[in-house]
Amino acid sequence: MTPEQPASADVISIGGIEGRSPTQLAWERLKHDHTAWVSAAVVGFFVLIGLLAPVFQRLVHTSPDAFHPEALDANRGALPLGSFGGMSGVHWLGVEPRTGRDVMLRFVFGARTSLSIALTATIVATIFGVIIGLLSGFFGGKVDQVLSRIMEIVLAFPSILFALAITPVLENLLQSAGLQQGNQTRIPVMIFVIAMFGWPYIARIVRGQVISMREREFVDAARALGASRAHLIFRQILPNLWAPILVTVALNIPTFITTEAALTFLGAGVIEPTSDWGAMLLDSVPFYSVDLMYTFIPGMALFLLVLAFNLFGDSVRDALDPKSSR
Amino acid sequence: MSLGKKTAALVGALALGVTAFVAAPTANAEATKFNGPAPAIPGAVKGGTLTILNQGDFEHIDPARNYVGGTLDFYRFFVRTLTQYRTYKGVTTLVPDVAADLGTTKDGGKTWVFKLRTNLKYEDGSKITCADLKYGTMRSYNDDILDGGTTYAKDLLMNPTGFKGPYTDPTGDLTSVICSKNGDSITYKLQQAVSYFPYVTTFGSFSPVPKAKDTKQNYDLHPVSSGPYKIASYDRGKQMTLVRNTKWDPKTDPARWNYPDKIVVKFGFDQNALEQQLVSDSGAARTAMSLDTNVITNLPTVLASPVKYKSRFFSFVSPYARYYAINMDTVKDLNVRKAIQCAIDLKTILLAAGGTNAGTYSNSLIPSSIKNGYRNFPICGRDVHKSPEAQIAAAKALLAATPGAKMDLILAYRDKGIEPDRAAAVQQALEAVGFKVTMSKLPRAGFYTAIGKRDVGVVEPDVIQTSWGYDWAASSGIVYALLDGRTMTATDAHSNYSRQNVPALQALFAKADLITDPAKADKALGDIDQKAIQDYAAVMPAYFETSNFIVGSKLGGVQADGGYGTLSPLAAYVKK
Repeated sequence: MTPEQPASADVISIGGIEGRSPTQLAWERLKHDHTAWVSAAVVGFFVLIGLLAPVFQRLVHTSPDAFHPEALDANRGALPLGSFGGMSGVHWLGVEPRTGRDVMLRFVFGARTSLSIALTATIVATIFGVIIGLLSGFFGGKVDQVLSRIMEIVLAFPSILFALAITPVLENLLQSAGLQQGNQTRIPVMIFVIAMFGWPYIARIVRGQVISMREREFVDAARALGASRAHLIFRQILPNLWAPILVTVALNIPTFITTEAALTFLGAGVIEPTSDWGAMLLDSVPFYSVDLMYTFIPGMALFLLVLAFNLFGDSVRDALDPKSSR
Repeated sequence: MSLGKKTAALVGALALGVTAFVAAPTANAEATKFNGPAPAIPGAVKGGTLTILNQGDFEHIDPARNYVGGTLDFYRFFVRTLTQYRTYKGVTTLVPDVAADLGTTKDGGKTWVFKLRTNLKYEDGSKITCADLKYGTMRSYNDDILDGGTTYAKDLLMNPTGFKGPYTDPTGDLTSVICSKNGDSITYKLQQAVSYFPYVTTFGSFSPVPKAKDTKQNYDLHPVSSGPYKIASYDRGKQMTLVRNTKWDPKTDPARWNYPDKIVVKFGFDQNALEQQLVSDSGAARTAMSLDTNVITNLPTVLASPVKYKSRFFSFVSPYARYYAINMDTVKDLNVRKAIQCAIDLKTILLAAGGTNAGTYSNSLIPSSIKNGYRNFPICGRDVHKSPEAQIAAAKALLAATPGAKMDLILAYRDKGIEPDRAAAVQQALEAVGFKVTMSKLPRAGFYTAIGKRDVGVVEPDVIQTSWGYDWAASSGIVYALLDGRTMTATDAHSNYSRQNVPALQALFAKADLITDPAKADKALGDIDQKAIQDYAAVMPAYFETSNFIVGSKLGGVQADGGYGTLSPLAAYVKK
């Protein structure tokens, strides 16, 4: 006889019933999602190497911009000496053809550039998109019509082409305002251009959510109590929107990373010698048939990072909104 | 004379035969050898269509306006000039073309007389006359309408009546060009003695143009052919088709061949796509070549399998000297200039350009193919061919011995292709010895004008990464243009980018002006080049560029042309 057995089971089952906030529920679901863990680890890895870039520089005793002629074969098209793009104890991921710059250092410093531009652009686009979406959804009517048309116009633009065209114009504007030519003007322009074409996606989602929410009872209750519009928008509605915003942000980051790399690849991006993954890919293209490693490293990293961010975004969405089908 | 134009227009698309050595104009005794026809190319067969695939259309094919290497070579299919180059079996020789000899002078080079061939015909069967030759020169004076060409005629010929060209001045005459009564010789009177004049007459402003057929700007669309082919159709930017000119007689022409039945030139290809097409040798590319496309991005692929590409790959030294001009106006101290010479690391520079397949180190602005002008001398104590690396200790010692040395340098370079990489290499090398380098990246267009600018208030660069492609293979085509301070004005250094104006060197130039023997002139100018580099540190030479062209497997007779420094289709044939 083991009378305690069912009793203890009861205790456990009773203990399992407890009040849990939607956040806690989502967290529980996320914790048991293996994809989420792996993709978060991959994202974390790239962020970490970006943060630790100066440490890597100390380890290999060179700078990402320093030329290393001794690592190149002058008689074979200035390709790296040795196999796998010149991988060695000194240059762990090999060297660039023609310049001999250390690929690993360019890669880790490139992670900094690529990620920080993409993340800053995400923040700018999110703030702008959320505000416009809130205003458009809450006020409706003419305000909504005007803002929605603007969103549609921006979405209809061929964004990359437009970005390529507008970059020099914006740069000239900044330079005539006294800023120096180079990355100090180019990077802000890139962030602006990426964010400019990214915000309507967030704004549209927020607008839709606000419209479905502005007539809900708790909003009406607050309105009846005489709450100001600002209070209604920012205190009543916005806190209920963070789940869809979070999902959009998580899915926007990889898009922006690709856009950043594409802009640099097409020549409207980060200016040499500052390293960047898009620039590395661009530089490596002529050599892909003879020095595959050089193309493979930034290409694979971009692929992994974008994939990981996308999977992570999906996991976050699933966790926050389990009803949505996959 | 400013040759910067050609350099500006075509850097990276020109080349010169590796063994090419343009023979000096010789006495008339040898002229008999220069009668037609041109010696047959071994194995060549007649027939077929030669295809030329180009990125861009020709800038100009009007002989008065053409000043681009690849086109200067190509337009000989339908344009004959007073003298011309013939490349055969790797040797380039100056030969009489419309002329029957290479010119004679009795006053040391101030007056030149050329005998003329009298049995030449245009594509319409009409006779090529001495008057046409004179008219061809006269129309080059209307360079306001016919822009883009060389200015040699205008710069060198006397013009006592101030003739302004036949369009502006229809009744005027260029009295310094004189046809003999029976039209079998032509005389040119020059402002001063020019020993290299027979080279100058290879340019299009010395080609016959029938006055009745001159359509001004539209002559650019259809020059009346005097060569083995004539233009059948020319759709600018798209395609040009050449067919045989049956009125051309090979027996009158020592410089041209006519193997293919037809020549088709197509324009509008992308550099990378075109390279790929030629390297992969598929379909129509098998009988094709390009005049304006060096193998750059695909070079490592070609080098990786040397045997496979051997018969189709042409790698030869181009006339392009890549060098660094050191501004003697802003960097006044000789020791600092010498320290710059020591600090510049030719090895990283050439690696950034693609390694030893992209160029050959040089200690001089004169290429080693100009035998009388070139000599190997050490710079900063090193033979750059053996030790191209920076001499860091020597540079530091020079700077340490110079109190108040100028340590802040502005490095000017052109925003194009590999130029920024090479500039970065120089920046690192200069900073390694203690200089502080400000990078001045200048736009591609207008670069050569910008770096020559000098004026109160102009911030001049201290070190200039630039290049020079000579117009003829003699010291005179290089040293006068790059180091002669006498052409400099208060606002414009012209192509004397170093702002060289040392009295001792100017005196040597004045002496060299008087030398009429080409070999001795080459040597005297070679002395100036050596002194300017070694004693005055006016420039730091880096390398002569290598041209790398690839052609289709069904083409034969294609050769590196020493006259224009490009791959020449002139003797090409289509294999059966």
